[in-house]
Amino acid sequence: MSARTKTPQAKSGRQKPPSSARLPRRAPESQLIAPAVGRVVTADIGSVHTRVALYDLVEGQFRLVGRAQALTTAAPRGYDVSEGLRRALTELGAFSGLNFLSADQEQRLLLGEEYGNTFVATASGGKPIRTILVGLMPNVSLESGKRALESTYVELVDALDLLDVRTIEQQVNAILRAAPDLILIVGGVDSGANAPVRALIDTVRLAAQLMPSNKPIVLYAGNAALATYVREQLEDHVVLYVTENVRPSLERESFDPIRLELALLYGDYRARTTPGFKTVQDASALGVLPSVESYGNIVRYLANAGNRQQNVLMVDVGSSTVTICAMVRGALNVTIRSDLGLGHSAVSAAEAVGVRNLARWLSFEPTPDEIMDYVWNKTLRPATIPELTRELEIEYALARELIRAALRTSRQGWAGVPINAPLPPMQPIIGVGSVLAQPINPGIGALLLLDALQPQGIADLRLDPYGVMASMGSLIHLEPLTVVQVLETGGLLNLATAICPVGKPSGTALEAKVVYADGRSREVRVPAHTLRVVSVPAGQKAQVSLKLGRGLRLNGKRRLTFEVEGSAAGLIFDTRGRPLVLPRDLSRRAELLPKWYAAVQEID
Amino acid sequence: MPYYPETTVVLGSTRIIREYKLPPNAIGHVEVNQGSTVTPDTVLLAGTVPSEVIFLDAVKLLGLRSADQITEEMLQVPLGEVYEAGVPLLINGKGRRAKKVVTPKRARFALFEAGRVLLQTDPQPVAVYALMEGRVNSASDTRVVLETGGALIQAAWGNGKASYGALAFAQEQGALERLGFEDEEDSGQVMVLPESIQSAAVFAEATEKRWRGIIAPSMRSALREQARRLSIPVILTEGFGILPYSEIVFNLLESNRGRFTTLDAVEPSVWRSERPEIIIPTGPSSRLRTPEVNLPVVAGATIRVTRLPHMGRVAKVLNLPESPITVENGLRVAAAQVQFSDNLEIAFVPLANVELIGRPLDAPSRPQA
Repeated sequence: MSARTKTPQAKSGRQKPPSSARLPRRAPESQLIAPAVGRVVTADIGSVHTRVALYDLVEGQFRLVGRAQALTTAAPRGYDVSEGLRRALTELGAFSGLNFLSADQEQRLLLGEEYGNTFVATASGGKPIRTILVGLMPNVSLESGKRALESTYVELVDALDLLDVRTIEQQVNAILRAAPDLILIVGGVDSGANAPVRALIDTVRLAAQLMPSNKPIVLYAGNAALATYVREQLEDHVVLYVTENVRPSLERESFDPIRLELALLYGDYRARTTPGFKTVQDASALGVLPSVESYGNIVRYLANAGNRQQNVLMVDVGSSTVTICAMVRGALNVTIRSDLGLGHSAVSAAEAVGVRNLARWLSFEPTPDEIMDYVWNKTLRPATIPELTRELEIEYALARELIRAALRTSRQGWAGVPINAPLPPMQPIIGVGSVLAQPINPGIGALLLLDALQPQGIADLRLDPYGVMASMGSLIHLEPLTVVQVLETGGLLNLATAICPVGKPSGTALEAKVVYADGRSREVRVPAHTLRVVSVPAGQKAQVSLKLGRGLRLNGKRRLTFEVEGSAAGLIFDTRGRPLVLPRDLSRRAELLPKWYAAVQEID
Repeated sequence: MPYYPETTVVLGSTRIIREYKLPPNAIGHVEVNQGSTVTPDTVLLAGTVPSEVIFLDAVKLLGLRSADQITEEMLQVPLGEVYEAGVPLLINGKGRRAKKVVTPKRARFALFEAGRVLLQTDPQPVAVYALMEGRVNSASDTRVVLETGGALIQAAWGNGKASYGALAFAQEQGALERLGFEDEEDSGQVMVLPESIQSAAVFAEATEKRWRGIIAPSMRSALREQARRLSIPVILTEGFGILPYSEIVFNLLESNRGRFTTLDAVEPSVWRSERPEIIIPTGPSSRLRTPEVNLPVVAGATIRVTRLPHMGRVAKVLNLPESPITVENGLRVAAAQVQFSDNLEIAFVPLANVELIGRPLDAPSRPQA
């Protein structure tokens, strides 16, 4: 395996290093001026589906103009991932009248500047990168290393540090047993002591020399003074990446260089291990970036988009992972649970959340093995969809519990927010994933988010059914203005506005008057412990005046008036109370759950 | 637009090409040559899997003060080889007073640097067998590609084991035509069970009757760990729960009753492409073609359904409506209108829940797009 070093540079040389202030807080007045790029084609390669999208100028603004998807073709024999991309591009071409593939048998990708478009690709599919973290102090450099790793799809299998009680011999054996794909070495402040970091580097080298095949990737992000030593020691034995110190001083952390390097490394790793990935990587302006890195960019943008900084929450329920990306009190927190998923990871997910917790969302008593048999079959055939009502209920139960489990993990890292406290206000809450985006009715997607997250107050629920988060989050590195335009012209679907009062509801929980822009109005009275939906069509606005029942508050008030935007599912009044309590008695559940499903689909 | 589903090969006669590799952590070599013919017992690759690494302080053991004092002459054996316990690796001095570094146990002399000897101890031998008759297509340092012809059934789950034997059906073991694999210790039979495995009793029976493998349509997922602990392969053709055989699978098994059968019960991993397979080899033949797996669903194609309520049923595609269809639970999805082969019933099934069965390119009934 040839050794090499990489520096964080875009292939086109146009890439800007990520920063927390990549985008303007508001779309600039000049947004009608066309951005530098022409047409934009994006691809997101997931575990099950490969989604492509086309963005183009419409009336002076960039908009999503077409999308298509095909099954990801990574797993079966004889396939490679570029095949799935070609299939999706064929469909996109048929819709748009454009050619994204050469007409010959080779079907070359006609993507990139030379073909008059910008192509960016992201991926979330595939096996997480088995990673060992090596650093000096557990609560200093190792902590920084762990946070840097949150930006990509890794499985942390071991960690070595100065306080490790194992001998060098035991540490070498631990590395060999773990068979890591990636070893991240952090530690040592710049111009700090060298000897302890050198010792750790030597341990890594010894282990790498003893690996019979598949030399690991090593990313060094420690004391900058040791970069030359690292190259001398490791270059011949590993695939080496060197970047800036993630912890240049005790007081300062520098995440942007290492996160960018991890993003580039992810693409290179996939290219080495997944047939066809290199073809996609070569066509993309930035290689193939991890989708989660893109999510982080968009969440950060949305949090800063208003006049004041706000909290934003994004939930991606995938086949192999559940990702939570939260901007809370100005800090970005990314959680990837590779053990949770609705397809590839369905078995580990059911084991993690527990069959009993799943059963409480069902309106029937499952047979002893029913849920586990279901998830095992789902793992064997992750692309399939439930046809029976009974199976769909299990799927929805899984979705709720997976979000809850991932949220619990995520909240451990939310500084200043107690884990057991109610969910702090999030504007917006964004759902990603087929189970949320393609249910029977948009109301079901909203219901699943409400049940799992249990927001309080006024919750703006949005959906990303077209993969905009992943594609725009990567394009942000090249064309931030395009991203602003797409997001501000409906790139994300307004799913619902949920009104979730706090307190103990009884009798009539609230009375509401909804006044539409055309002067029409509706008055509704919502009893306690129910869900009620009032239509506010997408593209319209309405003024809502609320009077809450005794013991209930919304944003601390009993009476308030506010404006809402139209949405696919409508204005949802959720008076079920918080925390949501599900009846243990099956007959009560069998009565209640179908009512909830029906309520969110019946728009007044 | 064309929809390309997964393909699960269920074919009575096809060209089968399979790659064999040593385990990822093994050090070894190829035992066969390109073009050679192999039998089920042929070892294709052999090697060792090292266990723990141990460090020996050569400076101390050789009675020296620093690593610089170790000379090339002190090195007694080449690096990279496996040595039995007690073999001197380095010697300082001569005669009875000589200081030595010796292997404390059987080990591979992996590395010598900075005054340290690194040994990979207790290397365990590993061998990769052909498990079927065939011809070696190619052989490189760590991989062998084997070709044969015959019936191929790709299955849903396996317990990670592999074996071969005569294909027998559970109800009529006594009447089975034997192939000569059996002896007092071994039935020589790969057993096809008539229905889903719902109790571990069948595993006890397999051990008692010395079966060489088990084929069943499905199994309770709770029995998975017990199945994994068996030394013989277990293959589920459909999945978990109480699922019957797909008609096409059962018919193919029945038509090969008594034939030599290889079970490669690879345990499907989320991230691996290998699938458990039942192979009934007839040897390589230039007439046979590999199944095509890169086909879209088209009208006239034969498909198999992969979800309830029609799980495992084989059908012919009649029509592919452009608009989504609402299925029983209310989901609106892209679907195919199909006619089932067992009772000619016509129904809509979601495209996401169909698979092709890998008809070879030259098959006469290949659907035309």
